[in-house]
Amino acid sequence: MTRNNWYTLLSIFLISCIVAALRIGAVDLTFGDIGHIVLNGLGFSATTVDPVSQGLFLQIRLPRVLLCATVGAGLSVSGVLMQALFRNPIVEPGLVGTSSGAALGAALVFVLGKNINWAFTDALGLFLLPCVAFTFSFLATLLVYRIASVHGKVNVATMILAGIAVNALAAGGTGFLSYIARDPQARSITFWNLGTFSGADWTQFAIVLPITVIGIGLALRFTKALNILILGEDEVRHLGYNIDRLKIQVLLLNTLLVAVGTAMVGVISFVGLVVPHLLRLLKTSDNRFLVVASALLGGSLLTVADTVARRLVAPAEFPIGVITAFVGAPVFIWLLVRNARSFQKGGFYA
Amino acid sequence: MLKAENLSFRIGGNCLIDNVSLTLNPGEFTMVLGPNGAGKSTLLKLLTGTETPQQGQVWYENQPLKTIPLPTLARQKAVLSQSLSLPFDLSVAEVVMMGRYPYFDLNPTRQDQQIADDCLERVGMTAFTNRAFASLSGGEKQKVHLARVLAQLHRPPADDATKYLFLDEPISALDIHYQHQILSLVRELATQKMVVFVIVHDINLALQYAQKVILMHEGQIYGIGTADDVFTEATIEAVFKLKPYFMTHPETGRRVMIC
Repeated sequence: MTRNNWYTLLSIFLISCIVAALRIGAVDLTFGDIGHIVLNGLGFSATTVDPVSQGLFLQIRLPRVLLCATVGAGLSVSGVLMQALFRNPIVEPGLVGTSSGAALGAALVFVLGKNINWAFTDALGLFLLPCVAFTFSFLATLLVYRIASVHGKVNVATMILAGIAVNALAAGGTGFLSYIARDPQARSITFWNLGTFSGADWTQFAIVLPITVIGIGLALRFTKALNILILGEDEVRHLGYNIDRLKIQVLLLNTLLVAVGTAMVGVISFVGLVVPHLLRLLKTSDNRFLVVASALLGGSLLTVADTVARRLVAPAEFPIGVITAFVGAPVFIWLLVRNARSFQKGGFYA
Repeated sequence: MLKAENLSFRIGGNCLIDNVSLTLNPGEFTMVLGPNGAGKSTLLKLLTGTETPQQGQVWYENQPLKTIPLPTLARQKAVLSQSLSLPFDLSVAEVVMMGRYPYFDLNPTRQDQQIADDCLERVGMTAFTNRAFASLSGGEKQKVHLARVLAQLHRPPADDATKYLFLDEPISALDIHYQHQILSLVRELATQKMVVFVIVHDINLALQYAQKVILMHEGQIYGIGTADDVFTEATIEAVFKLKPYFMTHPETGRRVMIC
């Protein structure tokens, strides 16, 4: 099957997942209901629809599903970028501090934001949250990368240990903030550590969508250089790219993709690990393919996970991180075991 | 033309390259030999810009190496390093296509595809196009990387700029058939306005193929010139601590060395 066929297939899958997710929930809607609501909303028809269903669909479910697909795409592309940058197949934003750093930054704004009235907090307005999340997220990732890389080679054991330390530090900070918080949502530790889309609204979507789309577009520009990085850092230089600049640019871009989503919905782990690996089963490591395909597949799978989280114990719901961890952790273990074996063949440590 | 002036390179207290100057001309097949740790690979890294010398300067034509933008350089100069390990699997075709990355934006053109295919054929690896790179033997991997650097320096008919090819032990894992085939290929490339700098260990291959030989010893150039001039009993004894015997090939009349 050609690349374009895969893209078509994955796009159809994404759209199907979104449509299914729009129907299924604590209250199931029919296609008829959705059709009427959409037509009404666009002003094409004047059929009366149940105002509760309409409100539920337009104000809660539609933004939630769209945000979910966008965040899934961002996290998955981030997984691809990090695996390429760290030259290691078991890296993902949840493991190396990117997500927990973002969560800490977001928690700071949520809990202390109202008490701080500095000039710049007003100037940033709506973007204060993503900006602070981004800063903390970047610092956390940079710290792990610096600790783990020696002469451009990332030692996996050091990386994972550094990731544990930085994650623990960030989670401690987040835990403390949620302990002193008054806002009921900020008080919920599960919200920060396991993620949930329950608070999704159009404002969040309006912030996350453009940043994710631009981020994925930028990511494509780095894919050739990241492909060469598979051969080694010197090779990147020999084929015309500045390796130091590439590293910092990819790290920044990657942080941007993760931080903006995490600031809104908390830490959702393992998406960035599982999605690229499902695609690697197609026997390719070409980052050009992985970036586009991961965006499509990641959006689909996170939408499915969120639908399961909403539906399984309706009208209550799981944190989505529970679902992604149940699927992702076994995949992670499988990768560890497989890679421990291929290490003997010389394939694992970059 | 490639010119290096007074290069010195130290790591910690060790002087890996000590005041080396040299000039390499296009059309000249240069081979570099020397004992392990003599500084051959380090010299290659200084000449390609992978490492920056603490002292001295490298010039490509009349331009200092460090002032040439990397994307421009990538179309003039290709480097084959020793032992590259890949953390992710790629197909042979993907590895070779990387040699064309400096020439296209996101997706290769039909012409890039053609060049990559041709280069694979020149190293005798066409049958392996869709194989996983990791599944190849050491020698096969070397041939694929060689195809990659050939693709990188492929010269369209209108292009008469000088090209620079650096190979660090390109034939170390090849059987003798391919050792000779690859060296013939590289020698032919050298005639097309190319500076060729190849690190090898086999003195007899240097006697057979090299137009210029650089013998490195303890970070310095011990001898430079034609193979017959550089490899004498005295230099081999001094550098390699071995007593050589030189003989004459019964058919070609060229010198061969045994130890």
